[in-house]
Amino acid sequence: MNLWIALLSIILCSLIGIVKGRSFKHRVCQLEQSLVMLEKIQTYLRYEQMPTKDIIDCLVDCEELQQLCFLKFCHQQLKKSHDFPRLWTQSIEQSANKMDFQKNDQKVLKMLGNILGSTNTENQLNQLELVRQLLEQSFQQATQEHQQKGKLFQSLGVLSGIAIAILCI
Amino acid sequence: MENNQRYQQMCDYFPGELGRLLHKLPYFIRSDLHEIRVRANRPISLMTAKQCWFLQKDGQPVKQPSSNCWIFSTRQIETLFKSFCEYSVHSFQNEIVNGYITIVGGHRIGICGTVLTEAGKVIGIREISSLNIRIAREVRGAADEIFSRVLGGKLQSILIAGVPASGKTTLIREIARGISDGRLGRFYKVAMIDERGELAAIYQGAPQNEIGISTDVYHLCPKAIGMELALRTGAPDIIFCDEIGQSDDANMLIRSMLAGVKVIATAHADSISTLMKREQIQYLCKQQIFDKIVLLKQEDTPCEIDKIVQVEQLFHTREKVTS
Repeated sequence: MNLWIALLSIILCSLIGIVKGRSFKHRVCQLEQSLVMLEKIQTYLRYEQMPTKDIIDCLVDCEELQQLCFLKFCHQQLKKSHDFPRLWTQSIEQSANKMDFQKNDQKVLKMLGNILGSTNTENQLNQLELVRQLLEQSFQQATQEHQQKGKLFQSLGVLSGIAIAILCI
Repeated sequence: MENNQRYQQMCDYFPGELGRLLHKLPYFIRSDLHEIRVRANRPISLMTAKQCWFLQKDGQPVKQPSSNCWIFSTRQIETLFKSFCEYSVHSFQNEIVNGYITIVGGHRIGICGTVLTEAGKVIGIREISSLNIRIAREVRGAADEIFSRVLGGKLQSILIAGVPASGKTTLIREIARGISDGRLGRFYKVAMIDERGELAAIYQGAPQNEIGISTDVYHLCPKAIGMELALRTGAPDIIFCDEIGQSDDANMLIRSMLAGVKVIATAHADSISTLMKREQIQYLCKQQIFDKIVLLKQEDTPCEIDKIVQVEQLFHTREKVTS
């Protein structure tokens, strides 16, 4: 019986460690995709002055942005309503539990809802540049965190599991 | 698109409760509604042909403003404007500098506010203080009298003159549609120079008004440039344009005549004599660019013909006028 408990605790703790370790990796990936998304938005605005709804349509079809699930939600909701700022904020909030963004990352992404489509092209591009810089900072911080803590948490998970197993036995 | 469907689409842009109330306006107002004017810190007004109404918060239209009327703040007007742009203000930049945008259904939103200029040119409008929503309507059959009494079954060059709101734009749109759809016996190629976006009301590339199956639209294009493009690349049988009067327009109209292309255009005037006082118009008539001039009645009877004048007779001793 104690052996089973020991094995279970090793597996559980290892899994927790792996999941936590991977969340750092996912956050890096999602922030990277957000930067790609921002660059695409800037391109659509600069060269085509594409309407906001069409921008979202194009982003949803991009394979390299598949981890950004708030885009799909926003795209669906825009079919029923014009109120882009509200829908964008809602999309970020509703997809928060499926993504590994921190509160600060969400705050920066929500800014896009108030920027996109609200003024002329030049103004929007300037504001998007600011958002890009903020996201870059977050991306660098996330990359550092992943490098420092990613493997650490995985190892900690396994070790804690072994420690609990020893105590049980 | 049906007029009622257009109106319903326009109401959807208004926020929540106000949009619902506009949907449910009494039929006698909704059927004759020309404009909705939204002004900062003042009651919303509904303009029909003969009356100005004010909308109360319970949805009842009244003839006098009261404290119970819907009032928009400047912030709400800005939000409404962004809603009309479908939160894509950047996509409407070129139209905004002209002081208006066209939305789905062909409705035109006139913008008043603080105008930004650079080197004498308008580059934008900020602090929007009022919006004038002109309700688009198609009046089928408005051009029947033109086809029967003026065109007489063949393509001709016509100048349609009238005061503002006499129906000039509505009339030439209907004439274009009829000619394009084969009402003169074949499907003539129509070039529509839609400088202000009122004729075809293009929205995201698609005309919101019925303009005929063989009509090509030069959207938001200055008339002289549009006519040149049409003549060079479009090979039209007839060109339509609204509100001529500049010297560039006159030169291009003469080129069209020399190329054998007919022209139907409009001009502001309350009488033939007023029309002839305009140098460019007089010059065009002397060059016999137009076969006939049609003068419309006043604004309370839109699209109705007052006089038809044969241009070749205009500068002779006896003027041939039918009414």
